[in-house]
Amino acid sequence: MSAKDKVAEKIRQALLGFDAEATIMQVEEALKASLGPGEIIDILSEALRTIGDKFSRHEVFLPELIVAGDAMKAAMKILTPLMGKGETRAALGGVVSGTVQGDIHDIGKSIVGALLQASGFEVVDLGVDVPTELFVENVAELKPEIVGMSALLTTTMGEMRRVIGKLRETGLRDKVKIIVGGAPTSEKFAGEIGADAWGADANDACLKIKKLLGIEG
Amino acid sequence: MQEGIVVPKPLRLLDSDEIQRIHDSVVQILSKVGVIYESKWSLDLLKDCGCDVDYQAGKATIPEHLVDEAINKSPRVIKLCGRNPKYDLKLEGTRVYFAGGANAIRIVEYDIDGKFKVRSASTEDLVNLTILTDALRNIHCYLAPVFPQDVPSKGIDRVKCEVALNYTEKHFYHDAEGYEGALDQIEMASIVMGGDNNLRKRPIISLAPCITSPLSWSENALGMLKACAEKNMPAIISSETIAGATAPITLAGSLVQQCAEVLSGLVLAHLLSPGTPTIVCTLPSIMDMITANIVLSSVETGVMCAAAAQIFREFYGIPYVGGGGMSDSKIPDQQAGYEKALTTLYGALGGSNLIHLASGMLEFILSVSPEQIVIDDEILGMVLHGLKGININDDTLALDVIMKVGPRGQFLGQKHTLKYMRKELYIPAITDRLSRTSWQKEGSKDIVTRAKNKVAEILKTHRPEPLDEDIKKMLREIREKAQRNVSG
Repeated sequence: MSAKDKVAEKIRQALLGFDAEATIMQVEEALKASLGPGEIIDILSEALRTIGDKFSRHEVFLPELIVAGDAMKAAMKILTPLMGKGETRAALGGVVSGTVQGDIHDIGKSIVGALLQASGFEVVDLGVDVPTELFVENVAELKPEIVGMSALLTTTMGEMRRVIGKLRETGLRDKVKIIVGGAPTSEKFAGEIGADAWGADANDACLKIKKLLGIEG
Repeated sequence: MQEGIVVPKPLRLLDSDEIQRIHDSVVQILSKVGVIYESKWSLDLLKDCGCDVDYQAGKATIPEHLVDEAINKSPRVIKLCGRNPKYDLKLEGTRVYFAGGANAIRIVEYDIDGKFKVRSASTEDLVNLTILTDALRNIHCYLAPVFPQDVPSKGIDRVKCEVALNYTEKHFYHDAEGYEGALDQIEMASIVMGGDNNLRKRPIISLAPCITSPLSWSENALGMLKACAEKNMPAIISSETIAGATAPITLAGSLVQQCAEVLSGLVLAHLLSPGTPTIVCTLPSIMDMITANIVLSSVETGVMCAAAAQIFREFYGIPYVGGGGMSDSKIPDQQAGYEKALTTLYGALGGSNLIHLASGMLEFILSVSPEQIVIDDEILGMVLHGLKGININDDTLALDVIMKVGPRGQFLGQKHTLKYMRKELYIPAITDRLSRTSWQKEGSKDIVTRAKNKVAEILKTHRPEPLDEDIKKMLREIREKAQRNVSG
């Protein structure tokens, strides 16, 4: 095993062991051992895909997926600024997600975010109680392929319609695909408010997003 | 060794005064009513040791001191071994295990569209269900689920023994065709273990001599008990009362009789050979007061097992096997589900060391369903998990993590969650926890369909470690000889 392979293996082991601190430490070690940021991202992405596969076989559980996703995110914060001009690593797509205004339920959309991250998407999670304007600003600025909205209350699900309306007013609606979800929502509701898809649960949301973007598997 | 679950705080249905009253009644029955022993050798031995014997009636009355001596000679802990040591069992204290179903003559198989096929059980079914049971993690011990209908019934104990030795690595036990049948089975196990000494050290087989209620030992059962005592093999001394028919209708009266019956066997075992590895077993059923059917699925069975487990642990100090998880429904349905969950739960909470007949059994244990075996494994897994109770310490109280997460946070991605999720939660195998949409997308499969798929998957992939060809041949010869002798 070459020195580089050894470093790569250590990164993989840290991420596959769901140890965020160790992952960051190994990423820093790898940089010292003069691995390029692009190479490191490739190693991390491959490990994350392995974790995603294990999740689909029920060998890995959601909390592990979330921790691995968070570790990846933290690593990207270090690695992205170090990337040379023109050196990019293509994600499957960008996603802006959040729980709509008036609703503070966090877990559903976080799970979807973790699943998407593990599948290779770049996810910007706007958090909970997200005002319409914040969705619109982020879509304008980040130009994601996907906007995901979540609501757990029948009283807040109507907010999703407002967000879609606002995106239409600002001319951004046709530049993104919109998926909605949450306990009180349904396929019918998604259609009525003009969303492109509805996720029955986290796995379903992830599959539908891939379908919207024409991604296999 | 399989760990089973040590129940931290078992269900105690009786207080110590009540147990004392039960025991006093047991002593009265044994010393005044007496017990029939069909074999003359047993009566002779009992007489020599101080029992009053009425040879005409074939009956012995047993004085209290002999009961006390037998209890004192009984081991407190019994190790039952598997052909593979990872399946060893240690019957002790409140440690709980499960064993599978036994001796069904019919197979109930899921067909299509919620319909079931019922057919006569064959030796091939016995082999398949043995492999299936070997693969399931919550069935710790094996009993032959099928009494095959395609071979002559005489010599069938050797057939079952041969199949068990070939197709499961777990501990197993059966009934036997008397003394000869028991010795043959012990011989077969001895061949697999490489001799009597090895088998004594690692008993991979037990025998389960059962009294005929009320209060009568058959020659057949006594022969099994004698073989166990002579060969120092574990004897599971059993009583299978039917409340209202072969025992009093009251649960207390049934319990008294069960205790008296198993102790009457225990006394003989320790007179034959002091320190024989003895285990007591009750399978307390009731008679249905309308149909006269013998019901094994009633909540009373569970309650009586819980009480017996407490009596034998706290008062007598003898490892105890109970029965549970049987259904009298004809198909794997909701009735099967609740009867199985309820009866296993009671017996397990009581701290029964082993609960047998707990997988696959339907219809007064006349039928077995492969799908039901897989469903039962899931029920048993849930029961076992629940038996652990609640583990209280600084880390599990989780004050640190609650402080860290605070109001409006979430626990999903916390290290604490990762550390404990697999320990604290039962991870189901075939239970449906999908959203309706996902469930529909996967074909709207009910539990029996999912179980059917699992059965097929296990039978396709699971292969118990095969025996050497020369050993297989020796086992076959013993079995064939027994079958020839009987027919000739």
